[in-house]
Amino acid sequence: MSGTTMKFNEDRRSFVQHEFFTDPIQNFRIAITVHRIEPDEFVPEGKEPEQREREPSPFGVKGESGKTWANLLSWQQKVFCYREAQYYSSKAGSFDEENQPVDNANSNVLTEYQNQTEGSYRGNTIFTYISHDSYLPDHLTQKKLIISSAKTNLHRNTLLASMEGNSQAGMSDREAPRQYMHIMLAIYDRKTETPYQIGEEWLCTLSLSKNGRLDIQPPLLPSDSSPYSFLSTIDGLTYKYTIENASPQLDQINTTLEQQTVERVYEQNYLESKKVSITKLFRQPYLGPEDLRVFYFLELVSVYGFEDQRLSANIALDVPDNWWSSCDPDPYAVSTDPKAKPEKKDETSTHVDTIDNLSLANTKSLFSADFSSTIAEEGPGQASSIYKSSSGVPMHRGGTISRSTQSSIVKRVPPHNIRQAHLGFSIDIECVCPVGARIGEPTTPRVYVSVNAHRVASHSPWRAPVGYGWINLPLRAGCDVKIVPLWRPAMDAVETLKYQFLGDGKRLMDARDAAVPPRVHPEGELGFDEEEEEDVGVVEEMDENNEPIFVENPNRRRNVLNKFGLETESTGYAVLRYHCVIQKSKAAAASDLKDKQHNPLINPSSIPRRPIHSRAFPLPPPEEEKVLPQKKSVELQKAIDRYTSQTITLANRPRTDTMADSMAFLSLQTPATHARLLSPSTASQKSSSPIHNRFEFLDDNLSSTGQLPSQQRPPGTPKQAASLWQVLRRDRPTKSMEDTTATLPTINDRADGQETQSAAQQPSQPRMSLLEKIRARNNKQMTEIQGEEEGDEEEPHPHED
Amino acid sequence: MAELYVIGELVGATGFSSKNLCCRYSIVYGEGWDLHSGEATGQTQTDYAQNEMTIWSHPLDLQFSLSTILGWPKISVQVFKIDSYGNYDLEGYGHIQIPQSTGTFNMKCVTWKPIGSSKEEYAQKFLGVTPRLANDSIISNGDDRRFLRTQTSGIVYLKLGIITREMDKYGIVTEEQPED
Repeated sequence: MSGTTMKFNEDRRSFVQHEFFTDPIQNFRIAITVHRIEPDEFVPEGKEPEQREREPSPFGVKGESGKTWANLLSWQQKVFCYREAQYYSSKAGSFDEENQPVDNANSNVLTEYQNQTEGSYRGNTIFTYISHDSYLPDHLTQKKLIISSAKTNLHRNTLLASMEGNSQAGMSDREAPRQYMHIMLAIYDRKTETPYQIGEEWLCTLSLSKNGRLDIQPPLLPSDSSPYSFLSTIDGLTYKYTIENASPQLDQINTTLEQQTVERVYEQNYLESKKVSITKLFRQPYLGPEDLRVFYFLELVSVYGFEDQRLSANIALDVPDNWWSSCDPDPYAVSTDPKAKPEKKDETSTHVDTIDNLSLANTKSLFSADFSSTIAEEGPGQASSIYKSSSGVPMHRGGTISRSTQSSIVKRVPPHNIRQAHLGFSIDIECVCPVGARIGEPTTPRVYVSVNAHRVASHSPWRAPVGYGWINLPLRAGCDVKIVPLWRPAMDAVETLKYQFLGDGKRLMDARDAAVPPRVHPEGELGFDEEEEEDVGVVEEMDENNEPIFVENPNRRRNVLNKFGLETESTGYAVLRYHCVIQKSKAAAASDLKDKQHNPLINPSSIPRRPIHSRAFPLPPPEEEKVLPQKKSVELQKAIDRYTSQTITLANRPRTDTMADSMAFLSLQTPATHARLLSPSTASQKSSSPIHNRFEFLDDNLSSTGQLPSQQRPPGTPKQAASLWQVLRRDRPTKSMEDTTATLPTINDRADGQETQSAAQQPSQPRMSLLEKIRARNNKQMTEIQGEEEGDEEEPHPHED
Repeated sequence: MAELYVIGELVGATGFSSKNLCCRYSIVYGEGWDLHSGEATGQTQTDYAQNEMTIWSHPLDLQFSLSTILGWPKISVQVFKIDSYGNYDLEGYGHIQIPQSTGTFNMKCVTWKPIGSSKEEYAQKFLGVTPRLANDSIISNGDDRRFLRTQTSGIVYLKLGIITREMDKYGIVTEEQPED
């Protein structure tokens, strides 16, 4: 055997067959036949190993010969080789060399074999190692476990591996095998007179996974395929063997039942996997009945409109002090005094204090007194264990998230070809909006954006501020994109030169000054006017009983934001995309759900229905049919006459009981009729008349002469009319229309035309229905038009092409 | 169990320096989220665009169950190009937040690619070795990128259809109801 062939056979033995057996594994049978090829033996092609001459077995085992061996094995069936049979028979119930007790299970199996063969069992040439033996063949121990530590940026290798048939990539997600079964071949020393086993060769491995997947290596062979072969290194001979599935075949009924069982089990497993997530509870940390848990997903998409080449941005999300969040208390105040934050409450306007007090008042009414006092004592920025985030982190009042984006080089990006810097920076925040923050003057989180230009070096601290801006995030669930206009402080000549050559520029001390300066900077001119003593929200007065009461100050003067003196210039824009999700408390959610269930507009099934067994109103007794008098009135007789007259108008249109009759009535628009409609002269004459008058006019002309007057015929009328007529006939969509018009003549249907012509020549019968009359008249007209066309040989017929 | 269904496609891209592009995407979501069906990662084919627009039309079909709003999934994309030697060079990173509201959204995902040192820039110019991020999580998380230098790249277009289930059972409002 050539080396190439051997290599091919070795590769075949490395393949793995994957089976999902619907049949129970206990019914699995595998038939294996091994043939040893002697050096001087010529193996003809196509000759099966079973057909060859069998030699006597070296051990006298029935069914085995000296050159060909066969065995039928079931799942986890233990078959002993000569060496094993000797080992377990000699040391049954004793200890082995390592002073370990000999396996009693295998000894018992061997005893059964001995009993069946009356003590003549000495082992099989084809034997097995099962899971109980904990045997690992050499080809499995020598296999390298390849762990890809290299970072594969693309899935190309995996895809290519799967396409090339390497099963390892597809097997990566399978479960660990639960049971093994190795089929082996015992190799004997043929030179000695007494049989002596000198080694063993691996033939096949079967592994059953927990999910019912059976892997067979090498795969089972169909009946017409060539056997596997290998060259034994022990005795230097070539062996060929076949592995076939010998399981009993199921009938159709049992196969169907098993398929149904498998489907049912699959559904059960699927539901069980779903049960894990179904039972997983939604995290709903504590919320007051009217409080809201608000999630903001903020993304700074890009900035554009700047002249600089390299831009970066700082983005800060400031949570109001009457909100709760788990973000940092005040990390944004980088360049300011950290003690400025507590002063913020004192120096802001008094109505903010009023909101705080209102919030506390409402909180007091909703929660216990201890909680309210806790809030009053802690103040902004202090942690509290009342509100927690979804991840369990305690929240505190207020807070700010501040981040810096990367510095990005500006580029023109289609489709608008605007110079913009892509930043793609996102901030997620979770906060709680108590009910007090939504009463009075509600406040919402505010986003500050400041854009810097890198003129000198990207990593240097010389970041010239080129834009400040801010927006308020609305307390409204949904998605939106905001364009934030940006400005920067105007610079004088010296600062401009400094900005151009050194990359430094005039900047705000705090980015929050872009909106409402929280305090008055000693060196700046921004900020509120100083409060006056009488500018308070509540004043103390004396009532009738001369007792002090607190009333709202009627002379209260609101603070005015004064930015006088600040000169700015518009620079660019920032694109801000945000998403907002609001989560209500459990009580509010249950209440909403209950309202929704009882809302008939949302849930129609909530409409109370009358029970079936309710009292039914008795039906009135059937009235006797009233016999109409046979006498016909004068008006009725006139109507009948009008019905049978030749003049057809829509006004006295007969009542059509069927769809076919209705379509037949509409098909009254003969080619001549259309020709009349196409005529501009006719259109001008009858433009002011209603439609039914036009039909009446045409039908009057047709009824009197049977054809159109020559002076009213538009140029090329017969040709166009015939074409239009055919188009109209061809485009009728409904079946009823086709059925009706099937009896109508066409200008190409010569036979029908003759028939209709002969029918038209017949004398009119008094019982002829209106429809038949109309058809006869139309046929007559069509025949005449057709005759004119035949005489006109200058223009070819469109259907002749 | 509140659920989120995302059905859409990676439509294509525009604005990149190369015409032969492919996109690798990954779905990034938080701890309280489970991806029941769909692939968390994937890669489109390489499209040799005949005009400005690269077309991928890569389908997305995801089903999530959630126990918290925090960690709402994002789509992180990495755009690559194939050079004349068959190497995959980075063209841009980007991410986009999957919308919370129900409906169909045509979304633009802006991308950027990092700029290395001078030595890396020379290597990129002559050897085609593009600098990449050592940790891809920085694409979608909100960590500070103060010391990262990038270059503006193209735009990836996505079409996403959002379906939510049993959100109202837990009092979650993802979109404002129209007023009567």
